[in-house]
Amino acid sequence: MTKINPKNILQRVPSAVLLFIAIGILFAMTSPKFLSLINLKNILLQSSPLAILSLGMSFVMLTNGIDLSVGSVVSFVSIMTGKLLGMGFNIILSIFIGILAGSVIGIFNGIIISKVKLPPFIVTLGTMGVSASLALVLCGGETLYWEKNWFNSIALKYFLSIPVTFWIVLLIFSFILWVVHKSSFGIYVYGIGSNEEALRLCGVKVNFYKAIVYLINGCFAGIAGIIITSRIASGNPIVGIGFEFEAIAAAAIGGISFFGGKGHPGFALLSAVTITMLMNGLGLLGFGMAWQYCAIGIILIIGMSINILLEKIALKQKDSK
Amino acid sequence: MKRIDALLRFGFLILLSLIILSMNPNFGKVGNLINILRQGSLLYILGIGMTIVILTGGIDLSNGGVLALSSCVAAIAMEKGVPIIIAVVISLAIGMACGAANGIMVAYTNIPPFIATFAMSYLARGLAYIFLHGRIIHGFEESFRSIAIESIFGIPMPVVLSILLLFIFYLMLEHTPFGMNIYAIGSNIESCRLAGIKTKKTIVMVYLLSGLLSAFAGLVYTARLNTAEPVIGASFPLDAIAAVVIGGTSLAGGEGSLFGTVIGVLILTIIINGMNMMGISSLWQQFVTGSIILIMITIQTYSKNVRLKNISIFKKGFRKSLNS
Repeated sequence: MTKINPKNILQRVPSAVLLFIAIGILFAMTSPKFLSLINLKNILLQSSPLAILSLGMSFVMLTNGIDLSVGSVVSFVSIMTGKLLGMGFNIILSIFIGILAGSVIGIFNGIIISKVKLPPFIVTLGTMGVSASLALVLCGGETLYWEKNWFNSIALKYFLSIPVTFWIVLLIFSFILWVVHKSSFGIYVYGIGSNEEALRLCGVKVNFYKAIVYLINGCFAGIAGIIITSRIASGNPIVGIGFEFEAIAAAAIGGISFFGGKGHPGFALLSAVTITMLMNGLGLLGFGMAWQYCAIGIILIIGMSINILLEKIALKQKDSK
Repeated sequence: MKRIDALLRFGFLILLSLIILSMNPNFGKVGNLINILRQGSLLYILGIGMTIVILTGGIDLSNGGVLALSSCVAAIAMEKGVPIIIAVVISLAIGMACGAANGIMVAYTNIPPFIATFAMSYLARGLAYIFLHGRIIHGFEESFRSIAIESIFGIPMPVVLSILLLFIFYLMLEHTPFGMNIYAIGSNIESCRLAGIKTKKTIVMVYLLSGLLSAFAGLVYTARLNTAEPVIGASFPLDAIAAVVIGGTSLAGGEGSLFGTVIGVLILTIIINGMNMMGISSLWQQFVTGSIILIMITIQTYSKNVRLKNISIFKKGFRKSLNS
């Protein structure tokens, strides 16, 4: 069994790294509060849900797929746990059921995409509507509250001055690093993205692994949903709207190819933090939501252009060799 | 073979209408049928743009943002006392500019359409917020509002406009070299380029037309609601994609038609109208829409697979007979 060489993956550094450094320096110079410990903690806390979603999304995109349903899954999980906590359920059990709900939608996506062989974009567009609507129906369009308990403080606690939520991100990231670098599953994920048919002819159960990828993504969406629910201390049926696109954008700036098989999930994590940093910094400087929208649009365009430029340069170097 | 799929979709539409009709006879009244057309009118206009973009193998997530931006710009211009015609022209020009920027990013910079148009939707919506400073402009002149509230021979103006646009774009797609190029680019862009088709210019043109249509839809929307605010149209991109997909247009490009999109929009609007008539809570609407997408795409893929299987079985038999 050949292992994926870290050098090969790290050879092409995507624009996320450059943007991270550039935006970091820019805000460090313009806003004195940006580098304060409280704000840095805040950035890590704010970026946790998007980071988890973009890690899962980069996995899906590596297999040449896409998952539009994660945003709605976040809303659905938020309502599900909110409902259970409101009924006075055991907290650990509620969290578990919430994550399970996300995983069920994920595996549903995975089975339909791999077994019935439908395009991922359309399948997940369908499940997006279904789960968004289920969230609304389950709570009747209202925000759910419950008596205050330690579930609310998950997003408030710090461990070694890093938010607990970001420890969860790091835990997930180490799992992904293990999958990508040490397990055969990681090789299959890259393989499905680059040449699915060849992998199938090698005797790999492509359909099974594809379904697992969507399961993992659904599970991650569930975890992100739990974190958001804890942060807003309520179950909200529309909290996840737009998250799917942000996660896809973060993965794309992180150098994950839309055609699969190229890129490293670590950079998706970095670009999720970068996007949050951008919004945070603009907020500190007094620019409102409108300017943040514009800035994200511009950063996306710049980031993708740099990625494409870097790819061209790498190709040229390859040719000249 | 494509006709079987079209018939399948048409049959589904008829079946759906009959089911709703049997549950609620009011569904069949002329007033309601016209209402269904009017409810869908924006989606027809946006669906045309989405269809031509998807036919080239791209996607346009920016139409909601561009719609909001053009609506706000037109409103501000009219508030400042600019003549209506000029305000309309400015807003259409802004839509075209956004579309052209999309096209240039996709064709010349090679940014994936998904990201390029998504970035544009954020940019356009952000600009709309900035221009309006969080205000809402309302109360427009009757002559501007006439594009949405007047009716000709009992048919509302938005419906007339969307039918007109559908007809124009149908002619363009099926009967001009430009339309042929759109289909050809979706099937195989590289062979198009080698055949001497100006692929990049065509792609820019397609996104430009999509931006223009979004801006136009924004004007109709503003005129109908009599208000302009930057939050409008957030769900339109996905609604339009759903209609196009239900209409049998392939997301890979090169396959599909405007007729299919019309059927797709009709299916979506009839379902929502029927649910309203039966008094089902609007919270279920997305559930039903999502399920319909899944069901329709499963049926289409299944019927396609059966056809392909028949062909491959035939081929196997053919090869065997050759070998023996």
